[in-house]
This record gives sequence, structure tokens and C-alpha cells, in this order.
Amino acid sequence: MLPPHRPAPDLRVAALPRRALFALGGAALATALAPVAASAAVAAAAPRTDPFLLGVASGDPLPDGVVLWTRLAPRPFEPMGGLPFVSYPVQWQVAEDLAFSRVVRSGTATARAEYGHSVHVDVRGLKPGRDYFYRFRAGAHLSRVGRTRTAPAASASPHALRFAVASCQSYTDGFFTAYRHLAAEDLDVVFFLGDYMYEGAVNSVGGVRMDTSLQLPDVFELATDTLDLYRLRYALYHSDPDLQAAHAAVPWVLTWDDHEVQDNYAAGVPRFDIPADDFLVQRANAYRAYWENLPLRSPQRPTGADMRLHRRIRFGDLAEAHVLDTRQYRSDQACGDGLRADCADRADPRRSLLGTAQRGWLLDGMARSGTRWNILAQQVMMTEVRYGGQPPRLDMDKWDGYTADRRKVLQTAGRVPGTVVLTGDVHFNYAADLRVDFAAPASAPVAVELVGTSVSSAGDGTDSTPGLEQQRRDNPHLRFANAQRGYIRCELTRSTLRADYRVLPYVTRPGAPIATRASFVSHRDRPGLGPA
Amino acid sequence: MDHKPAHRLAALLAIVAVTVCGAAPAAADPPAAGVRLTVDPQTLPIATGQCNGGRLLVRLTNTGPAPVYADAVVTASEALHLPRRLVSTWLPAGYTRTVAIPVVAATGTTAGAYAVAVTSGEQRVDVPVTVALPPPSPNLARFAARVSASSSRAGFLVCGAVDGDADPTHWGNGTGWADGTGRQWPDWYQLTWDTPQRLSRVDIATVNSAEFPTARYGLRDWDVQLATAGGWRTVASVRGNTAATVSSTFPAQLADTLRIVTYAANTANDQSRIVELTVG
Repeated sequence: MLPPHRPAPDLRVAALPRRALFALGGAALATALAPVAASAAVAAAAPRTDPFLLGVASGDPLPDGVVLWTRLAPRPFEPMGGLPFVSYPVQWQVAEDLAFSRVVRSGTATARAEYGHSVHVDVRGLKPGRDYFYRFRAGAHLSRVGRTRTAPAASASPHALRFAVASCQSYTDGFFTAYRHLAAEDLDVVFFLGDYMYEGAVNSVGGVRMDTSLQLPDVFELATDTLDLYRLRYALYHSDPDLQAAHAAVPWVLTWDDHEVQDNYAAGVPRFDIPADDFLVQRANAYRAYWENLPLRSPQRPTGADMRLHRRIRFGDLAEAHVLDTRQYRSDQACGDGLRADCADRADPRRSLLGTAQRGWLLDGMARSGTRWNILAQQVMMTEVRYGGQPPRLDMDKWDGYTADRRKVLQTAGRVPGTVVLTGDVHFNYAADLRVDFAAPASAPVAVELVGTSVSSAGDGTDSTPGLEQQRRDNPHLRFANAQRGYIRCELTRSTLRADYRVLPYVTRPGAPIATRASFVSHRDRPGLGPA
Repeated sequence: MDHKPAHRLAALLAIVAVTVCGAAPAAADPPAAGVRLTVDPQTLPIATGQCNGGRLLVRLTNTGPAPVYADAVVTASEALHLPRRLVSTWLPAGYTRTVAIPVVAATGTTAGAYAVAVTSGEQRVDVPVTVALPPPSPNLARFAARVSASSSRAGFLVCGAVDGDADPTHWGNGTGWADGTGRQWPDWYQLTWDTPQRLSRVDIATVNSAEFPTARYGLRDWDVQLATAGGWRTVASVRGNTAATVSSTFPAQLADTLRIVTYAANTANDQSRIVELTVG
């Protein structure tokens, strides 16, 4: 395994001839996202030691651009990453080739102290459906090189879209080996569906990783509450070499779930007993750290405790991804949360998982997309899952606790062919057919749901568990259930969806091999998962 | 070690000057001009030892009409350990954020006067810290130089189990320890002393409240082990426990490290939960 503080070396370009670097430097002004308002002073000199220890990332591809990210932190586990409260200029380049002999865009952005020295560059003017390479420079320090890919032109008719589905990466539960393998796949984009970061304590050796070289300071044992502590958690996660490799390999489209703020929170309602005012302040701090630390554009930048994360990413006429936020606007969980039988409130039409504005936005967007497929990139399981009992117990944190919203979404899917729901949250792999009425198992499915397991959360896992076996018996519409770690690799063509469930035998030790546990296909015009 | 408090304070002031110079709010949005800093208590008495420290409550109040981001920077005498030295937070208008800053003096720290300073913008609050030896106690856990565990859940850190509060109804207020790995066993909880101690008894209080009944969440199976030249030696074993408190006695022997290795809890069987650990 690589030392945790060092980026994987594969794309690092320190060996390239220096004189070729940044020939265009200074020619263009960065389209940096941060407003250039009154702010911390700009440093006269670059950080003395390598500030690019947290890697690079790209995200939210457009036909003509992508957002690039990095964050300066020469000492990632110290307050402010070891930097003073001053901002730093950071040069960036985008090239058509790994050697950067054909630089097509470049400029200078500002790593602002107010934003934790993060850098977001909204690069435009690129060609659609193309691979690009990017890197950053601060003084004499060069970042590693990232590779990214723009989306196809809006008018294009791509024959395929290849993507991966990942979620739930608890640092203390295991290594991010899944990402080492994901980085080697040929993908257009990664959908990350939440629980990027966990708010709980991390001991000096990183939990079950037992990594004695980590020597994490005890500030990581404090529960995240304020912005400084959330920033430190992201620094820990971004120091992982496998996660860095995955970010550097492919653009990501991210949404969050609960742990980015607090376990199982709902809108302004915390799971634990803290005053609502305090929780909203915590949410504001958590949202800000989330934006700072991920490749997101300025429309996603939070204002206080509010952050617009739901958005659309289009891939020509093949697919439109509707990226959802099922946390920020939801009604509080019905009947006290948890597994509940006979909870009438779950069907109350006044309750919503998406909030009325986002729900309208989604239903309208699905109907208008005009693409062969609609991808719903979201967090919690949409399919009904009975957890035993009669009447059966259902999970109030999932769509089962908000059936009015689910019915509207699935009724729309019934009218618009090609709906694929992507889900995270539960640390299990599932494949499910979705019906408007789950009580009518003979009715035709209107969509399919691919639930991706965790990258590391819940540790090693097993192929199955007694609980999963029981779920299969109680829920015949679940076509697959598996309790190992990994990710889903998918390919959409004009008429078919293929999903390969990629799993690891273990994550509490590094270096696990990857294998395809199961593969399914579904046809756009006749939804329903069958073995590939 | 520097035994002259005046020198310590001078060194501290120098650190503060360097650190605070050029400090700026976490957000440029509106500058955090209307932010008031207060710190409680005005003086902080603590005892030496990882789990015998105290805490300062740093309060940032937005006295202005619009939300701001604000920072407080904490500096301290070199002999003091402060896990966190920065607080950055969003503050809605009129809102006060209160953040606890733990202050610890390691075992072996010279008793005497030390200092902590909290700054936010132009404001500065100095807090004298008095460090004393821990008061005499038959509970040797209070003198441990290092307390550690296989993992800890946030809010249930190692010091909670040796804080002198064995009341199970206080579980949830940080007065107990819980491991951070759900349904993964074993876990361990460990005390280390600077010098070997004569050990013959360990009392463990596990959870016992309406919300966390022993029969569901209590610790069930564990070993008491001492570090010896030949490795860990099990001196007591508990199996199938359903009681809220358990005393384990064993022939007295000298050791500088004691650990509890936990193997299972009752029906929930999810985490190790120790409300209080006392050692004699």
C-alpha cells in the first residue's frame, strides 16, 4: 500500500521538462468561481512545501467544459491545512495530451483562505466528448495530473455512456481499494451518491485500517460540528491515495446523503437532541465544507444553511442525469424513523422526500428531457423493502417512508420510457424492478433501480447474510442482493442498460482484487432486470 | 522544561502575535465586524493526566444584522495540549455559537501557572490555567498517563470511562466510552501508567438505563489483561454478563498497562459500552 499522504505516482509529471510548462501562463484570466470581493490578503510567496497533497478532481462535465478542483494544504491535518489566513494564486492548465504539449486553456485562480484554500475553476471552451488533462501550479510546486472528459454535444447521438456508481466511504471502516480498480475502468463519469465523509470520531490509526503511519492528531476524535473540523475530515479523506486516483481519472458527479452533516438528519431536524438553531448552523458549516472540497460549480455554493445541489447533467440525446437531494428538503421521518409497520403517515401526501420544488423540477425534467434515458442519481432505496412481520416493517428513512413522492415519480416513469434509478446509502448491492404499485407484482415494471454497495462502510462484508436471504424471500422484486464492498459499472446504449456489480473480498486490508459478482441487463422499452 | 511562568507567557505572546497577524474571517462575505468573543471560565484549574483536563467554552456571537463567518484562534503555553485550536463557523444574525475547547496537561507536567489566549479579529481573551497534581484517590485509573482504545465513537471518547461519573443515566453526555466499529469484535480499552502499579481489581460499569438497558446494550463478554514481559496475560474473564456493574479481582501484581478486551455485548451486540472503569 502507498503511504497515505502521497498521491499515487502514475500521472505525476514532475519529471517533465520545466521550460515547457506554462508557456501560456498569465495569458488568460481564470474563471475562478470564488467572487473576488473583499477578502484575505494574497500571499507574496507560494507555500514552501508541496501544497498539493490532497489531489485534484474534476466534475459536472458539460459539452464545452468541466469544473476543476484542488485544495492547498501542505500540512493537511493542521488547522487551515498548515497555511496562514492568506490567499494564494494558483495557475492551472488544460491540455489535450498527457505531456501538456497542446495546452488549450490556462489561467490563474485564487485559493482563497475564506474557502479553506480550495480552488474551483469552471473551464469552458473545450470540445464535446473529449478527454483532457489538467494540472495546477503554486510557485515551484506542481500538482499531479488529472484526466477528465467533457460531455457529448447536446445534439449528439452517442451510442453509449459508461459510468460507475459509488457511495458510502467510511474511512475508518476500511481501505478505498474499490477506487484503485474504478480508476482503471474506461468510464465517462462517476456518480457518487452520498456519504462521502463520516462525521464521527477517527482514532490515530484510522479505525480498522490500523495504519500506524497515519498518526492522526486527536482533533479527529472530536465530532464534527464547526467548519474547521469538517474541513479536517475532508483533508483526511482526500489524503487517501486510492480516492485521489479515482478523482484524477474521471469526472465525478456528486450528491450527498446524511453523514456529510449528521446521521439520518432530515432537513432542519437533527437525529440527536440538539436545538434546531444549532443544527442549522452545523448544517451550514457542513454544506460549506462539502462545496469547498468537491468539484462543484458556483450555483452549488451554499448560502448559509442552504445549498442547491440538485441539478442536471446531459449526455447528448442518450441520457439526462437528474441529480437529487433527498436530505435537505425532506419532511421529518414518519412514525419516529426506523423500521415501522402500519405507519399511515408514510403515505401522507403533505409529506415529501424531495420537497415540492425539487419534486416539480424532477417530474418536469423527466417528462421534458427528450433523451433515450433518464438517470435519477439519488441516495435512498426507492423500491419497497419489507423487513419481515405482518403487516411488514418498512424503513421510514427511505422512499418507503414517503410513498406519495414515490408514486408521482414512478407514474412519470410509466409515461417516459428509460428511467434508471441509482441509489446508495445501505451498504448492500441490490437490483430491483420498480412498479407503480408494489402490491401488484404481476404488473409491468416501469423502471429499474440499481443500488450500489458501499466503497468501505461496514467493513469487509460477505456475499450474503441471513438478513439478506430473508429479504430476498420477503421481496421477490429484488433480483439480487449482496453484502460485499465495491461499485457498479454500467453501460447505457441506445436501447439497453447493462450493470456489472463489481465486488471486493475484503477492505480491512489493502490490495484486494476485484471481480464481477453479477451482471444484469434491462431494455429501455421493456424495463425489467434480467441476467446479462 | 521552563519553570518560569513569565517566560512561558512571553513565548506565548510571541506565538499569538505571529498567528493572529493577518487573521481574517472564514468568509469574505461581510467582514465579521459585529462578532463578540467571550470565554468561560475566566480561570481554568486542571490536574495533570490525559483525562484530568478541563475545557473552555468559546462563544462567538454575531451582534450584527446579517449572517457572517467568524473564526476564533486559540493559543496556549507549550506544556498544554489543546486538541483543537481553531473554531470557524457560520453565525446567523443574533446567534451565539458555543464550542468547547479541551485543555489537557500531560502526566508529568510541572504544576504551576500556564496560559491560554483566545483571539477573534481584534478581540482577545486571556485565561490563566492552573495545573496541579491529581488529588489522591484509591482509583488508579485517575492517574493513568495514557488512555486509549481500539476506536471510539464521537461523543463517547476514552476519557468518559475514567471521568469519575459512573451514573448510567448520564450515558449520552460523553461520560462513557463506546467503540466506533458497529458489530465488529473484539474491541479494547487500555490504561498505561508512567510507573508500574500494583493491580488487583477492576470494576466495570456498563450501560443501565431506560434507553440503554443492560440486557440489550450492556457488555457481555470481556477479559482483563495485563502487559507482561511475555505479552498480554489474562487475569480475569467475564462471560455472559447481564449485570450493570461487575468487579473482577485477581492476585495483585505489578504492571504498567492494563486493558479490557471485549468480545460481545448483549442482544443488540453492536458496540462496547463502558460507563466507568475503576482500577485498584
